[in-house]
Amino acid sequence: MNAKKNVFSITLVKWAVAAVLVIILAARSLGNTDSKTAFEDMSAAVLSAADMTNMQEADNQMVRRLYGLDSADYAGFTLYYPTTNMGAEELLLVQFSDPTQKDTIKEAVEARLETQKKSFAGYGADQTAMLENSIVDIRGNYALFVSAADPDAVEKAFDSTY
Amino acid sequence: MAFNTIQFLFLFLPVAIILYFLVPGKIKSLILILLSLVFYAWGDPSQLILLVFSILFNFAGGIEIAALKRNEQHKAAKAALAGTVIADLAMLAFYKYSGFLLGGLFPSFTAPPLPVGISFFTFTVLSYIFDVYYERAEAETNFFAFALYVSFFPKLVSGPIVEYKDIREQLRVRNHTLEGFGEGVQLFLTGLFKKVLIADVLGGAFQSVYAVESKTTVLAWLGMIFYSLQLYFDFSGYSDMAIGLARMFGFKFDKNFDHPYAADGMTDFWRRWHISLGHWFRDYVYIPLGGNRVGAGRQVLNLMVVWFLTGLWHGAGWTFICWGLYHGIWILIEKFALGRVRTKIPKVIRIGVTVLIAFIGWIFFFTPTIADAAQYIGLLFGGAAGFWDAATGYYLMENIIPLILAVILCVPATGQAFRHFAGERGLRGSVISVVMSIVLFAFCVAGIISSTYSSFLYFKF
Amino acid sequence: METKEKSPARSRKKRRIQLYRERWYRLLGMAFVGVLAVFVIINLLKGDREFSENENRNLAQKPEFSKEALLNGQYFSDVDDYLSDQFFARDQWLSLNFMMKKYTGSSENGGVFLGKDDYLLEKPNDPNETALQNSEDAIRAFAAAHQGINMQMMLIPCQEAVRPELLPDGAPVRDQLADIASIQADLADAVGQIDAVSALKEDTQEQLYYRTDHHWTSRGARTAFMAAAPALGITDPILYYDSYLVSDSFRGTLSSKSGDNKPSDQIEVFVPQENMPQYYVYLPDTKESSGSLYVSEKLKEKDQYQVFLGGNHPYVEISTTADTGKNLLIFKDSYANCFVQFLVPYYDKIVVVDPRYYYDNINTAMTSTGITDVLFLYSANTFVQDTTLSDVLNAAG
Repeated sequence: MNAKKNVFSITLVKWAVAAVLVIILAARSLGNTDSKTAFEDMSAAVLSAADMTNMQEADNQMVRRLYGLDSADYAGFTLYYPTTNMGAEELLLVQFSDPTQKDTIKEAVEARLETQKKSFAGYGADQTAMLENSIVDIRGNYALFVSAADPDAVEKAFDSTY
Repeated sequence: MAFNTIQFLFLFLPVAIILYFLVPGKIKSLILILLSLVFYAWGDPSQLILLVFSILFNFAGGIEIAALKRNEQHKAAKAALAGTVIADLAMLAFYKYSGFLLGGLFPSFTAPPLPVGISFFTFTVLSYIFDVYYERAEAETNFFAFALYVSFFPKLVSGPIVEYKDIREQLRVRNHTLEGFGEGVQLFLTGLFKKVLIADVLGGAFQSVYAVESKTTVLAWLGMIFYSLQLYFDFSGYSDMAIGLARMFGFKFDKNFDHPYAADGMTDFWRRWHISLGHWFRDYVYIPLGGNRVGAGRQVLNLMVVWFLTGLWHGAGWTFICWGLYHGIWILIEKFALGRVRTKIPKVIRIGVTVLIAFIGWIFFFTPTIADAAQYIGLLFGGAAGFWDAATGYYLMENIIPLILAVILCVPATGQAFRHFAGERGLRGSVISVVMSIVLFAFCVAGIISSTYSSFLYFKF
Repeated sequence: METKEKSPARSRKKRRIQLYRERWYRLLGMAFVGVLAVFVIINLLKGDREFSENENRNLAQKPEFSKEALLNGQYFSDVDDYLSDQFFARDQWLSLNFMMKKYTGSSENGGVFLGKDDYLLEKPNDPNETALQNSEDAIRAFAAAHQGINMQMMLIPCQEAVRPELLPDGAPVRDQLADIASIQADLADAVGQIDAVSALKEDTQEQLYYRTDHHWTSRGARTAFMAAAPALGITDPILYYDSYLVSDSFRGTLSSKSGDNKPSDQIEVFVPQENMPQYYVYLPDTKESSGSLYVSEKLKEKDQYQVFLGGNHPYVEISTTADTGKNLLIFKDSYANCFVQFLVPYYDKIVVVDPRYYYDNINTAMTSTGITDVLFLYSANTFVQDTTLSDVLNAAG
């Protein structure tokens, strides 16, 4: 009967709403889960995808100087910075030891990008372009910042190893 | 967003008041809904989607059930009820209890972050669905009225849980008078003072005391007392703010607390503490299970079920369940075992024992495990560091004034005396009270600002 | 009958009470809206501050709007910070809160004890065991790598440990002296340990620490210097100094932290009356030179303690005409800044390194300067949580 059909359409709408919610939540959570990859493996994957010729590894002091961070605070921390003052190639890979560190890293990376962009503004077109194309990927328990000629390759390695 | 913040008091609330009282009557409810969604999103925008979907889902659910009943499709109506309730509870269970339920089986499982107010708005929509099914109220066909019912910002985050049948008319028609607004302000300010000037101070006192590794007996008692008072002033203060705000916008809600630390017995205690939750469990669990109409044995079982659920509602953990059952047992003792004996005990002692039982119960709230709770209770009978020491004296004297103030405010006579002075003694009393309220409000602002104080002193030095 | 006669009077009284109550609510409602309106208008009219001297930090500015920031909640939280930080009379509200706490019997605020005689006392920090172990290991390795150099270490306790009678009655406080004793015992085999604690405790005449700041006064530094002189190889320390009062309006870190702006301090500098060589101060990071250990412009700022050496620099080199053949390297936190003034007559060069800001190789610096003595001078509070010293020492290789 008509009345029954009407009710059925309400039932349908109700459960459609529920289904949409579940789908949205599922999609969201997939993007937020922590990775089980160990830091050594992630680091190996990411570094092998990057062209390291113009980068050098940073020690704790340099990390503190460039980012204002204490590498000891994190479960895993690797920073490669330019070998010369004129370079802009940089690679940062961090594994969080607790989720609240996400914001700290985000701010530190943003500040570093700003500083770098400012120092090349006006005369270092190539460097500026490289910095503009840099990739910052902070998700779950890892953070990646890569400024390089081919940042996508590094991002891909990061994504697939995650 | 929380009520005791600068952004609420000096941005959100003024905007809300201006918008609400300027727009014509028809759009007032819509304004409240929009304000409520912004209020909810302010804390965490990503969780807003849950609230919106809950509103849509349950709005459809209510109409569905009502329509099925009209069509005499009773089996289908029951199925629809079950389906809707299970879906609502599933969302609550997923966010609030999955960690508790699955954490034991899958240690690496991390529970999703708990959306603000989910316990409250889930119980709100459940009350609606049940009221529609049991034909205590008609299904809401006006989407905006329903959306307002669920999302209304004063009660959205921390209650009270207002049952749909109690608010149905007010969603449509409200009386707005300056007196009503002022009544709301009075309650709101009372709540703000309780929260900022008493609860937060005692909360700090509790944290300091609890952090002491080796407590004396007296210090353990102080810790329990500080916590118990903080919990009451925090929760009842927030409820007062909620009910006061609602009143400012024309809604009349029942009180949620009624001087529970002046209660005469545990049954009386639960008529005074978190009243809306007690009513919810009575109306939607206890009475459907049979209430007082069944035999004593079945009543005992029903009560224990209700108390188990009450404990579980307060928190996803064994300590909360234990707390619920603890209260259930005392209610049973009072109801079935004590009988006439109670009348022979002087009232003062009855109240004292009630308070003591309630205070000890709160220990389960602040200790992480039942074993810790038991250990803490043990400290009340003999501290790890003896009965008293200099540090105990220090913590007591540090907080003696807030402690005394809190105790004075627990007594109903205090509030009555103030209301008498302010509202029944002519102009002078009223003016003085209003000035006092403003001064106390200033103190609250000072307290709120100081909680945002931060200094990067050592970084530079 | 009785009830009927009372009724009209009673109902008149009820009516009157109802009118009174309604009037009270009307007054309250209007007053509340009025107060909100006043606060909102003042805040709208008031300009934004950039920096808070009181809290020593930049205040939040109007946040930039972006869709991403809105969706992830960052925009809202930035607005919250902006509204709180730029609230009118923020500093005055903080003072009001402080007075509320003080006059309801509180003896501490913001982690600072409100001690007797208007002394503000900071709480001793709990040691970070990992960091402490790293520091000790690094110091030991460093000492082993530089056998020919005279290495000494001095840990300064905070005021509570030295003057416990200033604490509020019964205030529970960590036994920092036990921490210091344990660290010094651990490192006694590697580096000479100077006992500053006994000297400070015994000197009951002088004001050794500031009332409003966590640092020691120049007098406290002098007392410690007299205790340190033998270990540093100074056989004939100068006993007489001219003291100059450079400020009497100093309100330091503990003032800010506790919110208590009532007490104030005097800052003195000490100059030896005899045998004072000429000297100049060189700062490699800014390439500045100065003929004085003191930077008087800092007296115009809030943190007047920075008058000593101009605050913390990664590396300070003081060259003198003392002609003693000794060159001293000091690893320090800010306590050493007012200690240096007593060391000038005894060394040809004094190099002051703050590991929190130093990123170069200390070994090269030591060789090129010809360091003969090393002093680790730290306040215990900083030392038990410090991670930077071990970084610097280990980076030297």
